[in-house]
Amino acid sequence: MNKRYISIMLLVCLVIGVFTSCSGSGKNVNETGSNNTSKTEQTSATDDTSARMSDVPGMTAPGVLPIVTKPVKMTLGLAQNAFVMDYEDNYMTKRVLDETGISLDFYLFPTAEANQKFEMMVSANQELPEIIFLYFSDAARANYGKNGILKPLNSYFKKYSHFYDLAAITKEERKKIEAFGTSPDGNIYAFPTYVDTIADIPMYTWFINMPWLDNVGLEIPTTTDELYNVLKTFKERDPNKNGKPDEIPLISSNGWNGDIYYLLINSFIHYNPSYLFNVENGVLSVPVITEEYREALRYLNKLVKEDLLSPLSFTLDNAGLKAMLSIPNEQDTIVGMFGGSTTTLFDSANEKSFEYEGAPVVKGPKGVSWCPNRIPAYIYAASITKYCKNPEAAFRLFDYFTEEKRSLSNRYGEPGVHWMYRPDDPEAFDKMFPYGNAAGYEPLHARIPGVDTPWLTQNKTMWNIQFCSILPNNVYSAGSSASPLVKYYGEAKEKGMSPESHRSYIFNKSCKDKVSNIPPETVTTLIYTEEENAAITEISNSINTYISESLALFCTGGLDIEKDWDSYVKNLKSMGLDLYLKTAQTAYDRMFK
Amino acid sequence: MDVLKNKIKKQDTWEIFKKRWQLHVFMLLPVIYILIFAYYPMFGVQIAFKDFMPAEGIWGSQWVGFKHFEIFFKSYQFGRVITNTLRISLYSLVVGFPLPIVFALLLNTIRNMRFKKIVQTITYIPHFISVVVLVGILVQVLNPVTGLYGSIYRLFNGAGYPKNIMASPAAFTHLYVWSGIWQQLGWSSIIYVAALSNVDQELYEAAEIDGASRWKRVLHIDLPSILPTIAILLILRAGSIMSVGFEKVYLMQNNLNLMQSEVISTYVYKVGMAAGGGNFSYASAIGLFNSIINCTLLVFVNAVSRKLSDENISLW
Repeated sequence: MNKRYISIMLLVCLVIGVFTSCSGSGKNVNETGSNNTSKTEQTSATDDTSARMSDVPGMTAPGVLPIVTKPVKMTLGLAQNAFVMDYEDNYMTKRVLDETGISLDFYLFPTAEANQKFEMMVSANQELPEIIFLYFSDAARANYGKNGILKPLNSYFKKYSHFYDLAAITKEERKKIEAFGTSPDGNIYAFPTYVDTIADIPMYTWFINMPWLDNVGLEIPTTTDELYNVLKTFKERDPNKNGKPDEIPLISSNGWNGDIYYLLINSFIHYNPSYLFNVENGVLSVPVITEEYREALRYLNKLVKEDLLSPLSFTLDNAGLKAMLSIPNEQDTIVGMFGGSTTTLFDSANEKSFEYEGAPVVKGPKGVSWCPNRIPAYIYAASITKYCKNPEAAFRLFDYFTEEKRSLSNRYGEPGVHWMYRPDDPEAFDKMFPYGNAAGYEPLHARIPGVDTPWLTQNKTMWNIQFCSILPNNVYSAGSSASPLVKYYGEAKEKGMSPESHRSYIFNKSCKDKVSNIPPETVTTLIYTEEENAAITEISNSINTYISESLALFCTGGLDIEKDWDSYVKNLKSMGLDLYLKTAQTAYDRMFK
Repeated sequence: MDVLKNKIKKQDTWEIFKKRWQLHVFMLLPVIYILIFAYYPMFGVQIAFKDFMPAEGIWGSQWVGFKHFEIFFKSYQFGRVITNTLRISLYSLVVGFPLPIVFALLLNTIRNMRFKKIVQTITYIPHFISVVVLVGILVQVLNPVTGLYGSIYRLFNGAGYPKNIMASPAAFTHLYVWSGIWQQLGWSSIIYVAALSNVDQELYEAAEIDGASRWKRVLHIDLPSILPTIAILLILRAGSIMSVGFEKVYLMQNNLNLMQSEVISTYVYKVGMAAGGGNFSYASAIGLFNSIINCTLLVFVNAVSRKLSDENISLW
């Protein structure tokens, strides 16, 4: 009897619990999204000249500032940045109000859970900010668009874009920006941010110890055979002259631009581990099951077996490699070549970086020397929600930020305070920064030495460094150097270059050198439909894990390249490699044909 | 007659309730708490049988039956993650369970109170080190070039670098278990030390008069008195055999030891959260499968314990 009584008790509690948790969702159901199907959306853009004129009352023609003749209020929702102390009393906010007439209110999403919060607001039917800047996945964005939460921007691009049309990006770049931003239903639901910089383009960079080369009388290697020879000599001839066999010929970590064995594979066949597929004449293929890849594994296995490529390279993290490289001056150097980025592997005051110089991609037996590349940042985060009362003005606000100087301000802060813009006053600029650009670009901007860059300090200057910026490589990378440039490794110390400048100088130079090794045609991000995604998520995950795991095992001898190769290929096929390839081909055709 | 009896009993219950209703009101709060925060979220487990789409929500998504379970059972990872999980878990249990008991018994025989307290404090301090820091220490110490391990190697061999232990699949389980024991030994022994301090001193005195040696005293007084505690803790441990902690394994993983270090929880994380887009249904299916096995084991071990022990030691 006691049991029945308890169960009744529980039931009562359950009923109460269910009711209390449900009551919240009922309230907002009837709240309608403010009905603002504006007239402009219905007028078709048949006549191009009239479409370019402003057809919205209170708004000026595209490209004219201010955007609105009468002040307009708008809410902007973005993830809170811990460094931004105030969004309202903020340089950017005030500048926008002055120049465009749009007065912004902010809705701040919690930094780490911005997307979840947005999702909750959507499902509770709460009123959303009029415009948002949130990093959704492609699939999530397409879904919000399909459900009418986000407005399609296609017609706005036709009618109101101006600064975006003038941005200094090539036709191919523009085509890609649009291809990656278009959801599978053909609509564009977010305004692009495009940021490209030379330091991000090559995925791998490596550096070689010049005094060691001098000590053994060899040159910087340019082929895989020469590389083998140099490493072997490093190993055997005591290049650091301390009488101990403590040399590590080649090593890398999993840090930025590390995992150097991938670069060595590219001396045999192009393989970009981030994107798996290669493309030739529009046909995709998988490099990791080819004989060339197998040949590369043999080469790597030889290097590891003779202890030329340190097996630590497969497990080491950046801090571990830094502990070997960034050592006090009086200690013996132990690393001959390393893969990674000098900017993260040496402390800013460490002088050991003076010993190193960037190495080129080596040519394989068949003359192959590719360098896998990262794609520029294609970000689609700026969207207009269905609650927006002035979508045209909102779109033009996005467009306003794509202008070069404004995009640079997003990144560097207030011109004249945090950074200098050369076209403002070329003479004063050249006087202040006489050394030019380290990577050889025409100088365009420079950070004022001694002033902290806002995006890493507490500031009232910015919102988000990526807010609708269009910064192609030749703009973004065209920063002037604040210290003298050098031609060869010994010169840096002589000319009084600081270790900090030197480490970023050789890194940027090395990145620039690799640009010519990037293949003309590559497959990068593919936009899948929801069904395709469901079909391949598990497959692609297990395939990618299996490939990288097997690569490490083949190199270190855990798997035998001769004996285990067939089962490796068979395993990949049984995991669904063919289906994955077919799906990728479909997506590729949809995007680029 | 029976009906009458029932009626009387029923009234009794009601009478009891009326007399002490205040106590029941006290109970209401925790019950509601558990219902809302432990039982209500359990409805979410249904996404293991659905193709979860965030836009449609948990209740609105399409039913797909056992699809996700089938994918998991057929996956090439299935055998590997199950064996790895079991190996690591059973190894930790076999080594990690008796050691704190032995340690507590040893501690109990120390006469010098000051020394005993110092030993106890020193051994349980590592418990407060976070897992991230612990693995960081492991990685640094075991680094063949810059770590202590490498330095010791060079002390004996002059020069050169030893093999990388962190990359060896065979070493992974040992590293995982023994670093865990180093960290948790003192902490897990606290409960036994507490149980031992409750043993009646008269028992010891009587045993001493009877001429029992130290060893006999441990065997016949200490051990039996903490046996119920041991049994309960063992039952609880059995309930988590299929779950190996996520953080430490994930932090210690690398491509070379993956064949021994991929466990259910890290696999769930990789397919459910880390992979592009996330596959929540699949991850919940694996999690549910895991919980069912854990729950079965718990019930099973509990039943065995009740059968075997004289005092019917069991959780319920």
